[in-house]
Amino acid sequence: MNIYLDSIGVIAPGMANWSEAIKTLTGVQAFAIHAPLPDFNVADLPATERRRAGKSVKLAVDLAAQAMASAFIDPTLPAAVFASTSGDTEVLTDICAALATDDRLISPMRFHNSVHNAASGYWTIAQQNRQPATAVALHNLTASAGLLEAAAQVVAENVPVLLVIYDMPFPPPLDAAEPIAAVFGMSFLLQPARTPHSMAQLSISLSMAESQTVNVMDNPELEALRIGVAAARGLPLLAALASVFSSGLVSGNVQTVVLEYVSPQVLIIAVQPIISGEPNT
Amino acid sequence: MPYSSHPHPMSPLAITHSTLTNALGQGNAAVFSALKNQRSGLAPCDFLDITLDTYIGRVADLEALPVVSRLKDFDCRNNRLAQIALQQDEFEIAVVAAKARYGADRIAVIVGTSTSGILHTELAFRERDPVTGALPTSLHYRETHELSSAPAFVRHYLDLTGPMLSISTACSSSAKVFASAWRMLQADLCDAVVVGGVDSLCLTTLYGFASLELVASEPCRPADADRGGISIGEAAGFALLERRENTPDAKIGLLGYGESVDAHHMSTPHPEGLGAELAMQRALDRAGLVAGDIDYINLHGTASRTNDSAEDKAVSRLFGPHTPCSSTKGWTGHTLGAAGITEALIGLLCIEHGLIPGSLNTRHIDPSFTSQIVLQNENRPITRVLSNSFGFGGNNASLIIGRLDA
Repeated sequence: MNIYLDSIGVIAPGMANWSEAIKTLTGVQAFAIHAPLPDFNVADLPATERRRAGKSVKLAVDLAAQAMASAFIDPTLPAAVFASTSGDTEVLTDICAALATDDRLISPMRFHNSVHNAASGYWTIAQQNRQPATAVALHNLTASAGLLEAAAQVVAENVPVLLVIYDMPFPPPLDAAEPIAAVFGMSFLLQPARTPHSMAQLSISLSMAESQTVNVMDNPELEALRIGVAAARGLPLLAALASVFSSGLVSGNVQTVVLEYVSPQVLIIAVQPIISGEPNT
Repeated sequence: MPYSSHPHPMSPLAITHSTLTNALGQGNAAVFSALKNQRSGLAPCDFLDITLDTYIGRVADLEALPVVSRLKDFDCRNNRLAQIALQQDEFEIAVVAAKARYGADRIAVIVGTSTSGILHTELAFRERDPVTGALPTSLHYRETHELSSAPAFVRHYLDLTGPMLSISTACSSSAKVFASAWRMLQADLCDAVVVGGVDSLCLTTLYGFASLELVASEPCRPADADRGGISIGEAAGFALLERRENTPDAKIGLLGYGESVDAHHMSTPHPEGLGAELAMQRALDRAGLVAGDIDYINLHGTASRTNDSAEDKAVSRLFGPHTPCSSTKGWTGHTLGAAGITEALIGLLCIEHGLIPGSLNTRHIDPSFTSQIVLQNENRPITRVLSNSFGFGGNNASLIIGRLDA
């Protein structure tokens, strides 16, 4: 599947956007998994929705905003794929705790915020976007599954797709049953054909794992993030993109990234950078 | 290239095997027999120690039927329900044959669920350590509750090694599995797809819908002037989807799908059914059909005040007053994340057997409704069924199931 990448958003400890992520991923800036998380902006949500939204919605909506802003696309146009292993882990924990009490009362708002497509609901309301929107999960393979679902939609439907991949840790006591190491998210605006804003062509395919080695992060702290958060299993793709776009001199070399996918398959992404002004190939 | 201006017809997919398990029984024959005989699966709520004044559509005997021992970490109500469904209608045999044709790595598994095995976690919270607050170590969150629990269980159970996905968009989840399956086949990531939907009774949805005052105290009465809300049910359904060129003998398939969102409110549908209409129109466009080609509409028809009213407006605008419509939730209850595939496959059974089911439990059709709500079962040949599924987050999906040779 050949698709075009028009923008990237990132939110992680110590990283508020893609340009900060480039510095971290190329080693210019140090990374610490316990670094403070940037404040959520949630400028795209109307005041009422901002009050109602849980933390995961704020994270996902800010990631969506980053990808939309740098892709220069009408926000009512793209379809959307939101990928997260457990969605709003705080809301899930609150509900399970409330249901173990005698009165079992849960608030209506908390209930509707517990659906896995809460982020897509809030985002589409804010943008008045009525295109198809989905919410998917695949535990540690959520990032690969989200990318595959989004790419298949771009190719099969010939439409732009916003992809938001995000996770946040469980509070106690579920953190022991399902450890998620940090808040992490990344977002992409994907196009079926090259646009003036296209940064790279991504060629995505599946392969049997025996012949392929999955990419890991060289920096041990970043590797801990990759291993510790499902959404961060996509970090090697960001690292490849960061190395291409770090110097300002975009290299034309193809980089191949191998991400984990359902055993025994792996996801192979060939990243072909697009140099401005280069004719469409 | 927005969706709405890009209505090119799709190649239909063959539905070569399918199976349903819900409050009406295990397997297609039990489900169809209940439809034909107008026997509802709804009964007063007797689930666990829940004291809500409501009716539920419960699947019998799940408590006594654990999952196979080789997958014991996956044991929870949701996967028990999935397993029982997979064991009906020779579905496993069909998958074995498909494996021989395509290879296990070329068969994908895509399952929709809204709450997965959350019941398992809810019950674990009752057993927290009184001092530390810790959950019992017997909680296998990944295998029972995380949203890929059901598709991973199904993939292991059927010994498949192809792509896998869990879709969780509330009550449209297992309608959207058909759309994702079509795209996966179109992108040549696989040669066949086991699509499914599984959702099981839990405290979160029973108390959650009760908190929204959406739960009826009697069996739900879709489209009734005095409808008082939903009855919650549990269900599992599976279908094997293949390309038509590989299955020349297939009789019935997926002709079209349409997805949209309302962009209106998290838990209330757009009052005029704007998103619902978009989903149905996109499904017609995808199928290369017009409204008059549809013989029966299986409504989302939850029996909530707002859903039924908004859906009636959307259906009326697109189809006018003559296309027969009904909701089958008076039989099964609202099976939430499993509703999409449950009702699409009920549509398939209705095509096979020539039945337009009446809207069970509905006594007096809401006088403001203008679509053709049918109250009595009618036996007659039908060719194409449109099935609606709408969920929280304003998430909508419509499917068209029909004869491939028509």
